[in-house]
Amino acid sequence: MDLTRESFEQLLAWLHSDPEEAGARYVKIRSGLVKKFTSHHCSQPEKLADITIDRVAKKLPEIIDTFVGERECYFYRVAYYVLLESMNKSAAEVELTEGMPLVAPDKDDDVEAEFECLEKCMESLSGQKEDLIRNYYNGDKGAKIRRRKELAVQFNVELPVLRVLALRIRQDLRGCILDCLRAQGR
Amino acid sequence: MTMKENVVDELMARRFLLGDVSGEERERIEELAFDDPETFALMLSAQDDLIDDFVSNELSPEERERFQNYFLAQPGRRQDLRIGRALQQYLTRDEPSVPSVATNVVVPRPRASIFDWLRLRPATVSLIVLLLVAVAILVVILTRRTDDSPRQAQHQPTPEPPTPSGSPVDTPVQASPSPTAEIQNTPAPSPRPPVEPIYAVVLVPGGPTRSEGEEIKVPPGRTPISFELPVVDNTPYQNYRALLQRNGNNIRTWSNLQPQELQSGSALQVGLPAGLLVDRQRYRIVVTGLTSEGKIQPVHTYYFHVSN
Repeated sequence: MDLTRESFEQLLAWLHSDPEEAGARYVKIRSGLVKKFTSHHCSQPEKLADITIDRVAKKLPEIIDTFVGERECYFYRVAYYVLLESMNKSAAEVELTEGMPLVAPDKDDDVEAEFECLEKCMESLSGQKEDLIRNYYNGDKGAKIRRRKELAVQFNVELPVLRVLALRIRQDLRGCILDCLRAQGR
Repeated sequence: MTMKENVVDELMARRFLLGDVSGEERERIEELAFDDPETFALMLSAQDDLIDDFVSNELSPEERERFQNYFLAQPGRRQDLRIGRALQQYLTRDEPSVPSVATNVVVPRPRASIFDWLRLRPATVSLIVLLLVAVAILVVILTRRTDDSPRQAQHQPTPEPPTPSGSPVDTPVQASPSPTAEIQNTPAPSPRPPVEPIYAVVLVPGGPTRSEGEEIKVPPGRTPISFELPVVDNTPYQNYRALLQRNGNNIRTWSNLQPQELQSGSALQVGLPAGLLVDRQRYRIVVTGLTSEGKIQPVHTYYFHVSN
């Protein structure tokens, strides 16, 4: 959705009754969003900031009478979901309709295609990275907690650092798998 | 359960993902996750763990129901679940025993051996060969000069053969790119000093708040420190610049940095001499990148505090 003149004016009026002050707040919010998206290493922070603003403007008629709190914070909350979606390349934005049935996943969900792609993608990992993934994600809950602490000691890093390392590798794998699936036309 | 104002822990992240938080808590977490990259990373990590626990049938009945009715309703989650299933199948494929951490091949820090360094850097090996050849030529020239001017040799001390710069020690050649201020004061070649131990730290990019109330601790002391700064960014910067700051004051600058493949992945590496950091002080390293259009953009900020 691109902002229409009416929705833009409504948005400004919501930010402040004084047009000049509203304009200043808009600029400040937008630049704050761009800065934050940049800090999350997004390749198109300005586009994501505009998407965020569009969504707030679209949602405004529903919340304008009942909204309580800092307006800027609302932009941040919407931006969180915009950020999540920007990282999820395969996800299309879907509007959930009332009464839409939510189907439980099948127990024996066939993931053969994902498995084949994962095998290929794991081959591109270094031995150390594959070992980290194996040790970080394998095992039951209790074993995982214990193993992750041991890994942190082994790597001589704090647990938050280890988490980021494992997350990066898993995200790389995810991207590789999605590319592989797309190449297969899935 | 109450939530600390600026802290999201793993349990709170899980409750958020399952839709089991109050409206106020949800709003606060959304704001924090967008505001702080490390909190955002915690949320993503908690999402992966939640999916893995669902696949392994380790969720309680209530959690399972929330997972199916709330979590999976968000865009992209079903695909993540499928990938999670595939990963579980892959990891358990070669069971019964997973190698224990103690026997795996992970090499602890701080330093790679010279052979690992040579293997990983063939281009640098070529550079060393070139330098050795240059040294040999210089030695020949100096020897010839000495032979050709015996009178001068009587008045001059025998020159030390120059030590090739960038020769491998136990630390990689690019372990500590010299700060710009030091380039102008590079001392004349001299016999190699004894190798000092180096304290190596991997820092996490993000805001000053930490999800578990922890900050990366660096000891003060008498050993040089090497910081590994993971770069989670696909933007093709020409080079990077890192700035060490304390209380808003610039302490040190490293310019023209290039990321290397280190233990944490693609990362910058900068070093500090011993004794520079002050005990019980908070620091940050601000990294900026130079784009192909010549613009300087913020990349990451890394926070740490010095403590025994």
